[in-house]
Amino acid sequence: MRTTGSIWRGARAVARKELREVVRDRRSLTSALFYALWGPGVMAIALMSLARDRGPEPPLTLAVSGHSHAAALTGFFAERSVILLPAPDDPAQAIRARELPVALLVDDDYPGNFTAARPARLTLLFDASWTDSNRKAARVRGLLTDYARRVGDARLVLRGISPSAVSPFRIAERDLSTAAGRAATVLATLPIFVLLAAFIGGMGVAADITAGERERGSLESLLLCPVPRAAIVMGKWAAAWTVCLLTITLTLWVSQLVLRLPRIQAIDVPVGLSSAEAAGMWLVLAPLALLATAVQLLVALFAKTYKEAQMHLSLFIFLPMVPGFMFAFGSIEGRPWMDALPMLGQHVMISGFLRGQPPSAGAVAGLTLITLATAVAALAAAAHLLQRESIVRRAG
Amino acid sequence: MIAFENLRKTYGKTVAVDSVSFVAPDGVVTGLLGPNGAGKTTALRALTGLVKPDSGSALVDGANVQHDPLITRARLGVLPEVVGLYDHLTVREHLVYSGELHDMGRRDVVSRVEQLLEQLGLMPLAGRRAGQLSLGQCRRVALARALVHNPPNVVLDEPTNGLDVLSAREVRREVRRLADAGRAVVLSSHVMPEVSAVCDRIVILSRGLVAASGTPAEILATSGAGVLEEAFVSLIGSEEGLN
Repeated sequence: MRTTGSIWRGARAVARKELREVVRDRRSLTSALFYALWGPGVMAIALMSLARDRGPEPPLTLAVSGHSHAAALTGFFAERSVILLPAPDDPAQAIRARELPVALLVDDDYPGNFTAARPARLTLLFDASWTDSNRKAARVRGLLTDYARRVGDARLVLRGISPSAVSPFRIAERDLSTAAGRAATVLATLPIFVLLAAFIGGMGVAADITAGERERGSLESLLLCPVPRAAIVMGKWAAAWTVCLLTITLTLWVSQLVLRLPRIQAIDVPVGLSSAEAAGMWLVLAPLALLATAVQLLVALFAKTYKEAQMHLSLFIFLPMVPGFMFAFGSIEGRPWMDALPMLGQHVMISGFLRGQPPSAGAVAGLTLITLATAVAALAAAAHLLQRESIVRRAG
Repeated sequence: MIAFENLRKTYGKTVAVDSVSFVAPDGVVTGLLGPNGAGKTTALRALTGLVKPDSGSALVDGANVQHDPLITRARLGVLPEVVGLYDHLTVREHLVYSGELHDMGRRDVVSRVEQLLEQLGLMPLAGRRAGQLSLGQCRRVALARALVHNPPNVVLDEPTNGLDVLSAREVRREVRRLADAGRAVVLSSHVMPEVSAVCDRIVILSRGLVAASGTPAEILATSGAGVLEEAFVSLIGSEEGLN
């Protein structure tokens, strides 16, 4: 009679053989590894463009026409390291043609009005539909407001009035959404990538070692061996899980490298994934990978061909994305009961790590137990499917 | 020893096999002969446990396949119709894998595999991956794989299907050797000359029923035909007449 030990040996033999094939076939492995690079890569691009937006601004170049009329203003601009250029003959046309982002036109009456303390006219030309032009126009406007206040203050002082008398308050603006907020929005996609790794990592392998084996007819010879179905399922599960874990590990590692890039670090918020946090995420994801691969094995066993299995499984991929996107776009908030639901719970926990609020060990253990129990149920169902006659092609 | 007792299996309204009973004793090659769709593969799958009979039973060395599938599988070596090798595994790895799945000790597997590679002339191919083998070579590998655990009973489903004359002859020789070594061998085929060349006993299946069984001489006597092929046709024809 077979002992438990022989079941383990059977499962180990199956797992070893599947992994050997995975390594030699390369298809499933390549797609899994490609994924590990792709997810964090997309995030890196998003963060980089954010970093460019929020980085220190380069000196402003401003085309000015008639700057000889406003020597004091040009002096003020020079003091604020604005590079002044003479404006072309038709600045409006140049802006429309997007050759020039902004231009400042000094009225011919400017010196007269200025000296007489009448409002002197300046015209700021820009194109609001052009991001660069808009942003530069805002900077010029800011500089002009500063200059106007400085001149106004001087005039008040000359007239014996304290400038503070005409300034009931001063507004100090601090945009708290800035880097932190925007980076957080991008980082909210990280849990989706990481969770997807658990689902995509073992998918190809799961399809190949079940439906693929059915298609090639090799499943029949495997089922002829005196190995309990449970051992076969466990062996295949272990193989798919190993590839899945590899994908998760790589995804986390590449994410960590991406967040360490100097350009992303330049965003003045502590975006980062410490090794302890990455390890915590790994611990949360490893059981999820067990569940994902178990369910994939089960689903793929219903398919008769590799392609059919791929199709079923790619529909199934959308599942983890649903809570992911809902969180990313803020339509749901974390609730305690979510911690107990496989997939949702993992999402809440991974997001918690990123917000610097790691889950408690108890919560992780609880979720792990529930996830594992679900996985075992899926595996039992898969083993049961292997008992069915229809698992091998109908006899001729 | 392999035995079928009143085996019946239906798929919906189609009766695949019905009241099939026969014994394949040790040391004898028993041929299961019948046209395509006669129920040969269904009967053999009942023997491996892949098909659950509606009634009746399949026995391996006295053990019921339905009750003790792991025990009966361990005493059975099977060459399925679709050999199903793994493209990326080498010939030797296939045999070792089979040994592991039969829970043989590491040392036993290694020595047995080398012995089989030698015996079946597979040594030159041992390091080649199955994806690079010809159909005949694949079938020889599958046969070797079925024998790794040295089973006392061997089942071969259409073993020479798709093989050239030389490879087919090689397989037939091996079948003979297996029976001579005391094993019970059941071979299914729809190729008349093959069955008459290698089988000691013949069971003719037609439309799921045993149309005749016995030694080739007995079958000739029953049918009154001069050669086996005529006997085959007349037996199946009469069967069709009954329906």
